[in-house]
Amino acid sequence: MKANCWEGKKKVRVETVPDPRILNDGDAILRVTSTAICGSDLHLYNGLIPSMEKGDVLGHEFMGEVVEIGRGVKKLKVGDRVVVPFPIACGQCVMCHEKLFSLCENSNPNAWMAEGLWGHSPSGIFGYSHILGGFAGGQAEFVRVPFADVGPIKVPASLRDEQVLFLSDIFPTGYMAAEMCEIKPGKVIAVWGAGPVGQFAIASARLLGAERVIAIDRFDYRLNMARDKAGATHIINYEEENVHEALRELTGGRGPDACIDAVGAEAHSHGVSYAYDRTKQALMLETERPIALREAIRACRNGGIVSVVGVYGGLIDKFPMGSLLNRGLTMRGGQCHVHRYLEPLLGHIERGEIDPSFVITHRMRLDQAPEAYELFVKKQENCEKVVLSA
Amino acid sequence: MEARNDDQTRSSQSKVGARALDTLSPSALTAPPRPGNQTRQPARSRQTTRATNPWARGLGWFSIGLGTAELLAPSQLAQLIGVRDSSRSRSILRALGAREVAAGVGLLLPKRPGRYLWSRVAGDVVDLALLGGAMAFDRRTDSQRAGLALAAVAGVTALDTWASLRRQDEPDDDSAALARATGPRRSKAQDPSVPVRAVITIHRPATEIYAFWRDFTNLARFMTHVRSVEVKDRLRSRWHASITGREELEWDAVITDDRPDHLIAWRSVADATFDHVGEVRFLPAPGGRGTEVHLKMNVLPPAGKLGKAVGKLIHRLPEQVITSDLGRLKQLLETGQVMKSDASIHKGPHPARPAADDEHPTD
Repeated sequence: MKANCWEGKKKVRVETVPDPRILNDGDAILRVTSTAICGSDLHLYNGLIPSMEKGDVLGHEFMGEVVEIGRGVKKLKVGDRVVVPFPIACGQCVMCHEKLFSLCENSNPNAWMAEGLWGHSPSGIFGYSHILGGFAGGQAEFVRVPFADVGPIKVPASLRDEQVLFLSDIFPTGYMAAEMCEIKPGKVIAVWGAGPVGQFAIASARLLGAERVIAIDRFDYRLNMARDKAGATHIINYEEENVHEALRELTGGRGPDACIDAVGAEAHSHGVSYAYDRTKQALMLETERPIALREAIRACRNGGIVSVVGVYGGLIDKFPMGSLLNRGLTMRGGQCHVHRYLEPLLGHIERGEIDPSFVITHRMRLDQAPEAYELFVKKQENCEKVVLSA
Repeated sequence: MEARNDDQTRSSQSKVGARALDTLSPSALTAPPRPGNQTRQPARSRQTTRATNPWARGLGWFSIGLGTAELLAPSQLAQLIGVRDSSRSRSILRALGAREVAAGVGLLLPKRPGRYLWSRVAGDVVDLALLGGAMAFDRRTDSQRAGLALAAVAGVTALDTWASLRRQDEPDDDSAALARATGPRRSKAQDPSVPVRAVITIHRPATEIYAFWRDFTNLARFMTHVRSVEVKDRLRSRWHASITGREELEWDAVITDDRPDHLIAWRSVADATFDHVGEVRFLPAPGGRGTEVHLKMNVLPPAGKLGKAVGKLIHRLPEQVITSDLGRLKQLLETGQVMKSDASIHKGPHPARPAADDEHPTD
């Protein structure tokens, strides 16, 4: 089959690789019909996430048709059309019972690596490094899906791929970011990053009843999408305005009730702090550039919540702990527990309350993946989200 | 709350399990070490000076503080201790500062602080010599201040020496130098056996896990190095292991204690190639989270021809291997199978992509 493989920093290539097989009784094999490139794939592309190997098949946002099932699979049948959550979860361990699916205790065969780096291991993730399991991803014609009775959700034929594909990651991830903000009517939420996850965080904050939602980014096309499509009430271009001052202005000096970091480890900025973090990163004195996170913490109102869904992999420097402690902030974060959001969010889509396809700017073929990564990482042609069809 | 649970767990552990390891050690483990084996004793990862010797920690921070001062403000420091401030004295102080910082960081690291304590003593001697030299041979030295500094360094030297000696009394991970030292726990310090510990919580009742483990043939299903186990009778079993796929090991083991749903203890029989005692205990996890499985082994690296092979087994990050083994046991009992990924089915590194037909493992 054809698959998009990581070949090294800033290099992906579509190669012919062996077809996947059933390895565990609970597996299913999917023929992938649509797959997307995630912003977090760009961290892999840029070489930020450790434990990648040349030849790894990428991709954790995908959907398709079941073509084979293992003998332990009860709920799925050959021919079912499903969307697959990006974290792999067994459904049996204590974490899965508590619906903390991205912290499944059984799905990462390389748990020892994660324990070394992070203290304990989270779940395995499709196509996302060996520290997270060494699973082939879904930017391919076929993919093996473990625990097929636990993760995949069947989707009705009335909905197009584009409407349901993002249930695999970015819609639930944005939704969880908003949910962690404990939104009630009257709340003001600020969202750093108007990439695809930021768009869904904004849309979800509105769905949950936030009164004002402020989008922060440096690209006008993304800010316009946030305002016109996702429902942001205000936008701030950080290259034109001082974010802290603008947020004070928009919140009567209080600061937003909750701040969402939908940027993660490769934040951009202008001026000294960007140069500072860039240098420290180059010298390996920190692995990430937490510019958005620092700004979000400082901007948040006293007693507010900082909700982090942007991806970080290692260590950051100059974390404003004093601001967090003295002002009683709560910080939350996590890889999305996608499984628990599938049904409610599919409900929102079926009822027509949201059409997630609004983020798509590019539709390409799987064999154009290298070009697509390049477009996305360089933000060319106003690229927001690329969907690849096999 | 967590901590209290932990303590309770520990005290109940010691009641349940103390006998198993302490009284049932095979004679091989309590016998005097064989020649050449003392240096084999590796890290006891849980024994750290952080917990056992606050002095080492204090001295660590003192080292870092003094070292930083020497590195950043050598002129002021030279003045303080009465030594002439020259480019030469500044570079000497900076070099001493770098040494201090290194010793300090070493002391604060969890492993082998003993070595860094002795390095502090050695450093003190150098400091004393330099200060003494400055007083004796350089007339521009402020002898009153330098005398005070000399007295201070001498005091610190005494403290360092005391802390280093005291540390030898503790069960230690360090080298033969410490093992040779006299002290009340001498025999323990000389015990060349390697402790291996691993623990995991499994969301199943103890009865089920005990029963699974008690049928030793099951162990080959989740233990990386164990190929097969033959159960000979109620107490005895024969084990086959392979380490790198080349070295094959076999040994006989005998059950020394067996308490259904609670504990299984065993040891290898005399002259086993894999000379060890082991026990696994099953304790209820608080909050209905299933069962805590505690595995403890003490392995004696043998002398002789198979020693190299066994040494490899023991030194190949044993706790990580055993912890991964317990992870697979958890997968088996909670999900019914050992979890496989595209990379994990291969021995050694392999890209996360489906395997070709000819490279597919057969099991």
